[in-house]
Amino acid sequence: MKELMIFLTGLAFAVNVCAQNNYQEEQPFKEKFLLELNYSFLDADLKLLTMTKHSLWDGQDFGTLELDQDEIDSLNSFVDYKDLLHGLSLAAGMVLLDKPGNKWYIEGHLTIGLTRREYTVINNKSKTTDLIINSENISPWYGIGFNFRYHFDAKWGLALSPHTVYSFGTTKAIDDNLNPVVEFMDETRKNTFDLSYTWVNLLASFAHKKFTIMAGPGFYLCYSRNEYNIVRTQQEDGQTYEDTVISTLKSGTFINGSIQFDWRFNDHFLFSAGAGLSNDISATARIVYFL
Amino acid sequence: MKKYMICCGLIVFLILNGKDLISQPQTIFPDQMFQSHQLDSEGKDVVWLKNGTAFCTYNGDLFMFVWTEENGNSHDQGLLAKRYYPYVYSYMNGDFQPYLVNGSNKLVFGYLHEDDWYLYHPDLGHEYDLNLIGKAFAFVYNDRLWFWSYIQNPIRTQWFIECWAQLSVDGTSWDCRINETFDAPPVSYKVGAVQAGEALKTFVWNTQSNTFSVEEFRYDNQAQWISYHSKYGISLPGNMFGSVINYRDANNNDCYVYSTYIPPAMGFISFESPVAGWYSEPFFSVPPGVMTLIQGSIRGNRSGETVHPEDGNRFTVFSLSGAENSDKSYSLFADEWFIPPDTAARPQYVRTSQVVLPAACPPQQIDKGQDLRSATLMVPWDFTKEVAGIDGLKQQVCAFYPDKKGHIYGAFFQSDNWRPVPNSSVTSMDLANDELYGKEIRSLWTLVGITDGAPPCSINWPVWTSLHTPEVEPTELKFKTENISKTEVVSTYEDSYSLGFKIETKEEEVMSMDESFKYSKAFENKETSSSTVKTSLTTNFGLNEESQELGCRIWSVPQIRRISYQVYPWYDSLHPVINSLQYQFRTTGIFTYVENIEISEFPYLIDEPNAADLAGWKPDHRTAMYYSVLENDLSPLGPVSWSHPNSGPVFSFSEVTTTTTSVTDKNSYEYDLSMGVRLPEVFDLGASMNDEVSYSTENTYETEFGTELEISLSNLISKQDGINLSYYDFGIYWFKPNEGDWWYLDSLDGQKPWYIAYMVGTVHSRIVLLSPGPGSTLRVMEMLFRWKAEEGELGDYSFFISTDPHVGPATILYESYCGDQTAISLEDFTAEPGKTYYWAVRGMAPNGEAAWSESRPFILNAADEATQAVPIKAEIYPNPATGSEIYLTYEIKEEGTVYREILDIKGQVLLQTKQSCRSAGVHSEILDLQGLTPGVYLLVIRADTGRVVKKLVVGN
Repeated sequence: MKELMIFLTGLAFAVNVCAQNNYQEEQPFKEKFLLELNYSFLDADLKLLTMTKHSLWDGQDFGTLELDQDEIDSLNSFVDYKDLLHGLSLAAGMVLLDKPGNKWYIEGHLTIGLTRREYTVINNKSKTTDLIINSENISPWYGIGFNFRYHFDAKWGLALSPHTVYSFGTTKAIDDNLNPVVEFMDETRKNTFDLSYTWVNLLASFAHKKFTIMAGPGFYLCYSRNEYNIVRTQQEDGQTYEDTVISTLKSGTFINGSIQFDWRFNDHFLFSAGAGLSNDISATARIVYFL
Repeated sequence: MKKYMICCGLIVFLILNGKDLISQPQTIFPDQMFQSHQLDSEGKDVVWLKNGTAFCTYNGDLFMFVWTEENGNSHDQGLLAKRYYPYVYSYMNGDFQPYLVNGSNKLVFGYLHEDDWYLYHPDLGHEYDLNLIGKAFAFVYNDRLWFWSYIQNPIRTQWFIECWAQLSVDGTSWDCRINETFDAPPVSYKVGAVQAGEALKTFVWNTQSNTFSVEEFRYDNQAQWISYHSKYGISLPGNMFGSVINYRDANNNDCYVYSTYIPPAMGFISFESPVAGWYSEPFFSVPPGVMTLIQGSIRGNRSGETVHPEDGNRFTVFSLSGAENSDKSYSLFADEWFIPPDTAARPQYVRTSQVVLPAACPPQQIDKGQDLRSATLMVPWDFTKEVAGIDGLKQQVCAFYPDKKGHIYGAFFQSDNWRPVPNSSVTSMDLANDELYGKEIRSLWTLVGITDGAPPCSINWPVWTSLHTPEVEPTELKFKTENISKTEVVSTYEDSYSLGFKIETKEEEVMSMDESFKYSKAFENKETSSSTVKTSLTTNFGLNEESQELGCRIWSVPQIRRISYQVYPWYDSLHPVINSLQYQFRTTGIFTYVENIEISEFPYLIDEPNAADLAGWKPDHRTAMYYSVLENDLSPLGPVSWSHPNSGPVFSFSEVTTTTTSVTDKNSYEYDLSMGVRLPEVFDLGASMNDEVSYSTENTYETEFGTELEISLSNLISKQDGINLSYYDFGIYWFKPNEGDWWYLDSLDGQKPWYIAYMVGTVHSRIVLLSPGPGSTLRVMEMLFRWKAEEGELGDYSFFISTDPHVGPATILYESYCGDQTAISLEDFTAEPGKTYYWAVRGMAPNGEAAWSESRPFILNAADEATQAVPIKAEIYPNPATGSEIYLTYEIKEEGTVYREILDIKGQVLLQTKQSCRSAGVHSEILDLQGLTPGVYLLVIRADTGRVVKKLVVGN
């Protein structure tokens, strides 16, 4: 109780201080181009959309089994599919609109970077982790994003930030408890994935001097496709046995609560940090250099 | 505290029993996977419907029963009624094939209503699903295959139908019966069955008391069905029945192993043994959703096992995990146990392995939950070579399961190996002892040919042998027949892998007096191969008493080898499992076998081959054969004769050579035999049964007969040499199998061999051919043949024209009875110009015996081809001639010279006239008979363009 009172007092004080400053139209920054170092984090609970399984054993094709919707729904009821992403990227962009007297600010950038991904399947019925796939190699990550801002006045504004990133890769760092290693057989396992993450934040912003706080709903969609391939070879006669499981997933929820904090501490540098909170957690931190 | 003590106790128990609960199960790959596809005749997928699919091993074959939906006809209320039948399949060539009995693989239960079978009453008026109570299962009892299932009527829910089906011992029919009850709900139902000695034990689950019990039955041989015997309780844990197996311990006591479970939480393995007692153990693998167990190891194809020199009897418990995986499948596990030979010892757990299955073939739930079945199968190795340690039979253990859509999958594991017992293989020749081994093997032999053995002779043997010692140049009668049969056999046979078994053994020896060798159709895995076998048989007959007493039969014999097998654990190539023995029959080729037969037996029937008058060889003694000779106009290959005065060497040589001739014969055997497959005595699965066998062999015999006959006679001085006869004559006859209706063929069980026989002749007369001469080229108008008899009277002549020097039923082109005439003019035989023909004459002696002439070739002049189409027409009036003149009218087509000749019956020209430059057209003349005596004459009119011969009778 005591701590809450102190926080609220401080907040009231800060708001009061800021409110006493009249909005004066600040001069737009002259710098038009930007370079950005960005770290992103995503911890998403996904839902299975489709799963197909194909087996080719010793020349005998067992066909492709596709789970129907009832089976998909059943799996989604007791299996957790988690995607954990860590992305480090560089972005280059430019300020597209930032004119004196214009309440609009538009910025766009392209992103390129690397990501590390961990995909986990957890069976809540048997209470086991059936599958963990790590992208042992850093996978490439590409993206494009925009920032649209409208300043009602010097303090308040509205921000719309659509972004999309795409990552892909192949990895052999697979921990599979569902398909154990077989004795007297050589095997190779690899997982090839495609992942796209798109989000649009609609944030209300409040600026004070060099700081801007934004909050609001975020809408997002994470989609991934995994192709998991196991090839086993008999040591004795060289016969091969191949299984391929292809699953597509998407994020379970599409809306979160987003907050963002920007600190433009000089003409050239901006520090920004943000987070999205729902069943999934996302976070972003970036340093922007304007030039 | 209490919970702590329980946990400690459990840990101690586990440690003492050596079970590793903490470590992960190992993995195992199936040796083979099966995936169902279109199986039924209508091209529909056969699906695992509810819990209605059952598997059973029966005589080494793997059987599957599948309840299948079939749309029925409209019934009274005008609605379609679904109907369900179990269909039966057997596993062959890597797939399940319909097991046809009387042309169908459908089991029909229920009752007849308006000419159609219904399991439920047809007036229900609804589409309904099959409502199974419990699981369908199949088992072997009293050497028969059985199927059981329990159904609840979905509309009239108080109506329950228990379905039983029994396959007859001979496999020719299914006996399907139902027991109907009208109690609701069902209190109990059967969950499994096993044969226990003479009894059938069925296991029953009681839904009220939640316990298992046993209902025993006995087999009523009169009724050919089971009858209820008794009922008693049994302490089995769990509420679901997996399966049961029985085995025999070292003292031959019946013991049982059960799998039961509480899905998806716990499983139990229970044991029942007269010595070790009754006990249960919890199942320490992954908590099961369903369990089943089967005898046999699953490690037959894997190395790296530890050696257990004293145990070989393993069973495997298959289970599906109770918890579903994150890919909508269940995991399949295999727990291995072995049975120590010590009767008091309990079966021991070995390990748990997770079976890796194709991702596209997941075990899943079907309508009523999980299902899992197991069975065994026997499959042959490659038998082309008998190599110890490699050759033999593979025993496979199979686990079957469905996916959600009812597709049927099977994981096959190689189990123990059957390997040949060293030095135990025997050939079909060794098995030819009818008394010991029955007649099955011998009945597969084909009688290709028969020979009379040594040509007949009549010799005083004591005198002969006393005069002709090895030091003295022998006087010999040499009959040498070379290449009497050179048979090339091209055989195409279906190489059936077959199993046999020992029906009865009084001792533990491999062979016994009661042993019979049977074939089975356990395997349809046939190969077709062909081999060419050329054999050349030369029989040289020495001049000794023994050579007269034996004829020979020539057999084509399939070379069959019987190999004995015992089962060896996969890890142990030195210690076979006790009480295990199997036989395998292998066809490896065809060979020719010559068998000597007493000349007094059929078809020779010659009691005294060396009688002074050779009576046994004469036609009047071998009357049946001679009758066939006459009826079929069979001439001898060549006459052999010899006359011997009292002194001086006499030599008569006759050489007969013939061109080669082919005889084609095809045989196939459809053989109905008993079969049996007995798995090791330790696991009492096998039983003897009757079954059909298909062993087919197609043999084409290209037989060359080179009848080169050499006869030589030298240095015979006098009758004292031992030769009894002063005159001697015999013919060699060749009875070809497909050219005549020979008397002996009906007596040889359908065999049709050729037969070379000798007949001694008593006719001293012989026929000498007069004209035309050998190899003559004749014109059409010169087709007049004449002969005479020498050294005796002959009559009833028959004239033959043949395409072959050997006149016989297959070669005769023309035959004419001439009576006592010794000439014939051919009026109705059209010869092909340029082609060689043979003419021969047969005459009959007063004693009814025939005498043949040689055969003599002739050729029709090719230039006469044109003239053959232009005959001369002629008429004689009066005929018979009553005066000294006759009127002759004839027509010629072209101008030319015309000759008129009158010949007597001996062909001698009596009158001849000639008229030149006769114009074409009709001419009439008076012909003066110039005092011809009454009799039969031939009038020949010939012109440049043709000729005609007319018979003229001159009367008194």
